[in-house]
Amino acid sequence: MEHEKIKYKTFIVDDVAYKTLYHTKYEKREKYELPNPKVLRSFLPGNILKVLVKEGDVIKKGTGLCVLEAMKTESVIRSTVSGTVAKIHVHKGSVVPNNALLMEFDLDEEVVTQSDID
Amino acid sequence: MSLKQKTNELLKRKAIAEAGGGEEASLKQQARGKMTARERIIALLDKDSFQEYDLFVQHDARDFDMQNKVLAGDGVITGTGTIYGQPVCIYAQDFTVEGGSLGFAHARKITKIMDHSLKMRMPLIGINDSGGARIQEGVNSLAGYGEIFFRNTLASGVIPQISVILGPCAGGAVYSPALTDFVFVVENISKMFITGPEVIKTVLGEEISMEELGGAKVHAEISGNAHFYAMSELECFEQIKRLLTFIPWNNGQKARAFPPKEPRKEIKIEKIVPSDTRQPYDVREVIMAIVDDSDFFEVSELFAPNIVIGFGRINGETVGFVANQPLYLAGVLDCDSSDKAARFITYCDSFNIPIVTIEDMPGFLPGIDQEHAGIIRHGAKMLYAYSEATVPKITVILRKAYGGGYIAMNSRHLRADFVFAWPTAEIAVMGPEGAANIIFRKEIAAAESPEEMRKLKIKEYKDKFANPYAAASKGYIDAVIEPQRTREILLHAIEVSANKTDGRPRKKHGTPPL
Repeated sequence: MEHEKIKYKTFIVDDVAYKTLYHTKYEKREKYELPNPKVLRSFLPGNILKVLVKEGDVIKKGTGLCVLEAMKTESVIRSTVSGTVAKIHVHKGSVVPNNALLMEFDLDEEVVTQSDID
Repeated sequence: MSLKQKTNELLKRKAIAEAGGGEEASLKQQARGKMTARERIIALLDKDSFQEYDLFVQHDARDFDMQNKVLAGDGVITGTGTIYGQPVCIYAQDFTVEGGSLGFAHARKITKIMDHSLKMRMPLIGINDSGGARIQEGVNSLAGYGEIFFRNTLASGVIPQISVILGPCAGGAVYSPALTDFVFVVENISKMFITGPEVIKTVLGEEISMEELGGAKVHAEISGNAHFYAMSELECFEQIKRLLTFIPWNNGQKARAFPPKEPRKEIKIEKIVPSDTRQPYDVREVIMAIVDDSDFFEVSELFAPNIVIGFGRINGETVGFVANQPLYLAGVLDCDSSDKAARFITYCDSFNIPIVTIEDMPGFLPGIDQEHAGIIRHGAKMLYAYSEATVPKITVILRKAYGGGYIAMNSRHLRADFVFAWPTAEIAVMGPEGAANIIFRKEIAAAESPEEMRKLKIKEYKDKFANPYAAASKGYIDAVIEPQRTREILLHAIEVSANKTDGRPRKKHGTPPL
C-alpha cells in the first residue's frame, strides 16, 4: 500500500534492528556527553563579571576561576580539578549563552573522557 | 417606570455589557484571526442554548485608577448551555476587555460556574484567551488563580474538564489547563508558556519567537501539554463535540451508547500486520479494523506517536484504546509514551471506560538520555495506572511482548481481565537476538564460526520462546486467537465484563510515581 513509499529508518533495541520512523522530538534530542573535566562550560546563560585567573596559572580544586552573573545572581565559578589553565575563551564583560566554552585546563591526573569511550 | 420601560432599560444594560470591549477591540480580535468570546460560545453550543450568568458583575479594585474603569462582565463570559442536547457549563475569557486579564471578580465568576458544574455533575469547558493576571489587583488576582486550580483538582475524576486555548495563556494561568482532562489548541492562535519570549531574552539572553516557545504545535508535539491540535477555531469546536460523544457526563455514568455498526469491510485485520516482527505497520489500521464503523478518535496524536491512545466503540459502547505503534520508534516505551498512556488509563478508569490494550513492542527504550530523564519513574506510571484501574481491562498481543514492557502493557499480573494473543505473539524477556547473545555467549565465542553459531542459537531461542504457547501454558494468556476473530472476541470480552466488580484496599490515596 502507501507504506511502500515511506523510507524507514533502523532502530535497535536489544540487538534487534527494527524498521520504523523517528518522530520530531526524537530527532531533535540532544545526545548525552560525558562531562569533560578538561573544559569549563557555562551552566546558565549570563555575563562574565570578572576573570580571576590567567593562562598558565596553577589551579587547585576550589580555586575561583571567574564570576558569572546569571538569573540576577553572581556566582564564583570554582575549579573542580587540579592543574593549569591552558586557555581562556572569555574576558570581563563577555555575554555567554548556556553551555559555552569558558576555559580549558591541563590536568595533573589523567581522566576518562568521551573520546576515550568512542 | 412601567414594566416595559424597565425591560427596555435591562436590554440597554445587557447590550452594553454584551458588547464586551467594544467594536474596535472586537475588530482587532478578528484581525488576529480570532473569534470573540461570545462568538465562540455560540459556535460551540447548541443553537440558542446559551444562558449567561453574572453579566453585570463588576470588579471592586481601587488602586492604579481602576475605580474609574468599567469592565464589561469583568472580562469573562460564564453560563450553561447544551451540546448535542446534553448540559454543559462554560466560560470564555474575553480578550477585548482589558486583555482578558484575570482579576478577583473575573476569577469569582469562573469559580462560581465551576462549583455549579461540579454540583450538577456536568462537563466544564473553559475557553482561555487572557493576557494573564490583572497586575493592578495584586495578590487578589493570584488568589483568584489559586481558587480555580483548587476547584480543577476537586473536580478531576468527577466531571470531564476541557480547556480550550484560544489566545495567550501565560504565567500562572497555564496551570488550570494543565489540571484538566483535555487541552485543545489551534495553530497560530494558542500560546502557552510560564515566561514569555521577552523575559527569556532579558534574563537568559536567548531569542525565541512566541510560536517556537509555546505555540500550538509545540504543545501538541513536543511538550505534550495539549491533546488536540486544530488548524482553525471551528475545527477545534468540532473536535470538542466529537470528544463529548465518546465520554460520560460524570463519573457516575457510562458514556452514551450508540447503535452498533460493523467496521468497514475493506480493512482486513489479518493483512495489516507483517509476521516479521522487525517490520513496521500502522497500528491505527488495526484499531480501525476492530471498532464500530472503523471510527477511531485519537488523543494526543502528535505527542509520543510511538504509543497510540484514543476512543472507539465496540458494539456501541465506548472503549479506550492503548496501542503500541510500531510505525514510530518500533513502538518502544519511553518516558513520554509512558506518561501519555498512564494518564489516559487513569482517565478511562475514572470515567468507567473499559480499556483495550493492543500490544506489540520491543520493551522499554534503552539509553543514557532515557535513564537520566527518569524512565524508571515514568515507566512505573504505566504499572501504577494499569494496576489501579478497575474498569474492564483487555489485552491483545499481536507480536512482540518483551521484558518489562510485557508486564507494563496490561499483563495478567497487573490484573488484566482477559489477555488474548495472536499466533504471531512472542512473549519473552527480550528479542531473540539479544537473548541468544547473552545466554549462549560462551558457545558463540568458542565456536569455529561464531556467526554461524549465533544464527543457530538465535533460531533455537526463537523456536522455544518466539510464540504465545509458553505463556499460554502457564495461563498468563487466556486464549490464542485467529487474527480475523479479534473484533468478535473483544466484543464478547466486553459483553461478559459488563458487571465487573473489583476493588482495591481502602486508602486516602496512594503515592503514584509522578
